[in-house]
Amino acid sequence: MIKGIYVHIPFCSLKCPYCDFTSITVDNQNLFKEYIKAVLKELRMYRNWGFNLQTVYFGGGTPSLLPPEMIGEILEGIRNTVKSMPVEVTVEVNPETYRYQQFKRLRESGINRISIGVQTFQDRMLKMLGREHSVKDSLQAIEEAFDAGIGNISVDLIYGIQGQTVREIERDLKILEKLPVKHVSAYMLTAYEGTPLGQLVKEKRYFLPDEETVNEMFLIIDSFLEERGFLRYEISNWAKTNYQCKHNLFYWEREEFLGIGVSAWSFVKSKRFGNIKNLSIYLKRIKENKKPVEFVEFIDADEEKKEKIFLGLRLRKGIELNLVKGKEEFLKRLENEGLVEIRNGRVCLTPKGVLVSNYISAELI
Amino acid sequence: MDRMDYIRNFSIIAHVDHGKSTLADRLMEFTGAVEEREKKDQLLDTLDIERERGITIKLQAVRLKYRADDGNDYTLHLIDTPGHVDFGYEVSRSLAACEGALLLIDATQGIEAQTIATFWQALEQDLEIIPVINKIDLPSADVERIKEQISDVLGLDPDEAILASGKAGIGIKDILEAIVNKIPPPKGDENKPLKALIFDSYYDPYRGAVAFVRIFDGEVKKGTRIRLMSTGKEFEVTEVGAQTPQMTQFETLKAGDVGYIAAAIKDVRDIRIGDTITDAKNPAKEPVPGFRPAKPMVYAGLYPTGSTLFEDLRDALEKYSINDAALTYEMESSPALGLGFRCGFLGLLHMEIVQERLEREYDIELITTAPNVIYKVVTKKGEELEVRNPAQMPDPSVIDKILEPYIEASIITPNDFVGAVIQLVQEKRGIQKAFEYIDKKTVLLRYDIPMAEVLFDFHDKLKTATRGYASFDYEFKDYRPGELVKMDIKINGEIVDALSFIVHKDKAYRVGRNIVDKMREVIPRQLFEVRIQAVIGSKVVASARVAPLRKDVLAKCYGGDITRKKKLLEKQKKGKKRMKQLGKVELPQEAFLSILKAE
Repeated sequence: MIKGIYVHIPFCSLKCPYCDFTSITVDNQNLFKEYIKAVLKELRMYRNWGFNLQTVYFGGGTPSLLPPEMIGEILEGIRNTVKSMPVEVTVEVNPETYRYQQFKRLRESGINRISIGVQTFQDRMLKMLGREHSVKDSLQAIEEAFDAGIGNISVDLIYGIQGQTVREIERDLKILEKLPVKHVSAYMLTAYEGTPLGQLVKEKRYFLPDEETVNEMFLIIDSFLEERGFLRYEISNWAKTNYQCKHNLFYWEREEFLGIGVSAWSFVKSKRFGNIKNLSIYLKRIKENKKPVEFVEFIDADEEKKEKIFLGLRLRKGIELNLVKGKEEFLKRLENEGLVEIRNGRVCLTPKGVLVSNYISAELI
Repeated sequence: MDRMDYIRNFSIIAHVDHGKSTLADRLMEFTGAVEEREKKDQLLDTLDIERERGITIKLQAVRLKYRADDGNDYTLHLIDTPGHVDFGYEVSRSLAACEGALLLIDATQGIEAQTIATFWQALEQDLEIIPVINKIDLPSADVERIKEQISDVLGLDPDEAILASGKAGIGIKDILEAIVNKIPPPKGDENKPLKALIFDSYYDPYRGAVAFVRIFDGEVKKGTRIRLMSTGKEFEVTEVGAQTPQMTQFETLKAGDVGYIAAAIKDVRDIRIGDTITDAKNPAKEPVPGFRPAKPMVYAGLYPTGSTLFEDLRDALEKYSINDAALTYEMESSPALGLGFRCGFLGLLHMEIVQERLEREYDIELITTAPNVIYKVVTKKGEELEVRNPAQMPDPSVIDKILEPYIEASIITPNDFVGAVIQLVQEKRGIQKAFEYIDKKTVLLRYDIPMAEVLFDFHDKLKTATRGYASFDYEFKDYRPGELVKMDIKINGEIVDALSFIVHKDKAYRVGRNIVDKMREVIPRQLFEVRIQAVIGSKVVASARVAPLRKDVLAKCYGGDITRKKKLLEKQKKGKKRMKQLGKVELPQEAFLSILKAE
């Protein structure tokens, strides 16, 4: 049964230099409308599949580039098609976009969770990220969203920016602490090949902080949040009790979810499939009443096991030891180095282990 | 006239890349042995790997039919020869099967060391030599210079040389006419007892081990009971024939013929190159002279890694070696690498080929240790030991002296680079034996060099020092005492036996420093610190450290794209395939070969 629906909104007013997700910079209400129609038409192609819908997630791009009514319209369409009421509906919001009125309309349309792309509470660092908004925008957005009745607010942070210091991270956390925030996601700035940032780093015109500094940043974020009741339930996510993001947990726990919209991913009936990444081809396919899928991977028992390992290791609760039989010696060494904890037949990563999680997962899959 | 008057047996002598295979293809096409539609480039090179490297390893023999200008039909046997120094003995046996040879010289390159070495072999065997200047269609061809070399270096009449281009199909008919008119027909007596020289073999899944032979006397056909003269083993012939170029069965092979014999032989090792096949019921008195068993010159350890098990490697070696009689292998165990095999190779190229084919054709993941020569150790008690693995070198306190193999190397270089070559060879502990001009601009140098020194990137360095112009050939000479020491490599304090090597005392510090630096470059960062030390006995010569890995990327996993994340992890895992776990540390294949690049 499909438990979550992801809706990709591929529009941005400006493309961030580090972003390698699918988005186009456009502000064209007609295109937005056409896209919404296409997305709902796509969903209807799946209406006979089994749904037990609990979450909807609007991600991007910049979903908040759309007026709240349009988001409400999509959600309404989802409810009508799937005929069930999700308990968690999240919209990713850029700080410079929505204010009190828009948040209120979101709330009225049934959206009960927002994730705000704050990234950092230092204007200097926002410039280093090439972001349009200011710290003031972020603070205002959080405050007004809360006032508008959205109690479940998540904040995205990025660390490891050029020139960023550990002290600045600490300052960020102290600001964050005072805000009505229930959930934090923190990501390491990554210079992906093919992005402007990737190019700059390659040409040595942008310098990421050294490893030790970035590691310290992660450890400080982790311990600060944990001490204040935000538990790291996943590798880059912290939440107050009962405020974990149910939708994202579906990814890590391998529940079925459907992704609609350009470049969206799904996992249904042991298949992972991905949509076309090009917007005009996507729209054309939908017009032709064809599913816009361009990639399918069948998950057999081997793949399933691998996924259980590396996805499970992202979670605080870790994985059952019997998933990694034959790797006892390796795990023992990791335990001795303080990288994993082995307890009650399960193994999970310590904060230090999180920092080398790819290395560990690659070894175990 | 006699049947044999219409047979010609010949080889093509050429340096690598001088166009031998292309010329062979043209000869086959011209005589109709190959239909255009079945033409692949370079037909004689059967294996993919050879095609990729552009060299010929397994030699074969093709029967061509040619109607000459004199109106007669001739049977020509073209016997292919391998074009690399590692296979010198196989070349000599191929030549022994012929009465003549085409000496192919690249008009843009001139005579190379290897060509001369093979030319001398051919002369010793009284072969009729037909010089062919190839690639004359290229703009950089310098025919006059080549003619001068043919006269000065080889002592042949340059006016006899045929101008040709295999690629453009120039001179092909002239070559065929020269083969018929200049190369003498084979001699022999089909009524005498069977005497057949084996010059090649291969394993055929349907026919068993197949011998390629030149019949000197007698006759062989299906049902003949044959005997291998070096071992006395007997078999019953199931099939005789020749390659046309397909394997084509014939009634009989008679004196003067070249072809193949199959006799349901299970082990290709029973068919030794250079051995003589005779009739078991009516044996020849003497074999064809010149047989010697293939002797490995270079040893290295092959160990399974990744998901390959020892048993997988053993099975693969067993299967592979039925088609490569020159490879020897015996089980060995290394404290660092576990169970594996000590393998003997004809040379470095042979080793690389074996390694690649095991990995490609048998899906084996391998760690290869640095190759070494065979050392002879005389103990203080006067015993002589053969050391094929540096890790097994006895303790210095019991050693009286260590002997190492020397080669006699011939190097031909343009005189502009003589200084650079001499400097290189001196670094390699070479002793000059001869220095002669073979034409106004070209020098032939002869050196005695410890063989161990040419194992380590000598060829590459020679090419670099001479911008690719020098050529190099060698043969084993003798064993001589050397001031040698064993150097061990410690990883996190433990000696890794598979990394031990023997080095000359005077070079020990430099090599130790270089190898440690090289290893630091190739060992990827891992969860634990890696300390590398080069030691002689208990003395540390050099050390280095690879800092532990502290951080991966913790990036956003976008919109449920689990597949992409999984691909990344799988790629990372695959990168570890050729890594060998030593205690806490993982060493990549490159670390085991660092010693090759450490000078």
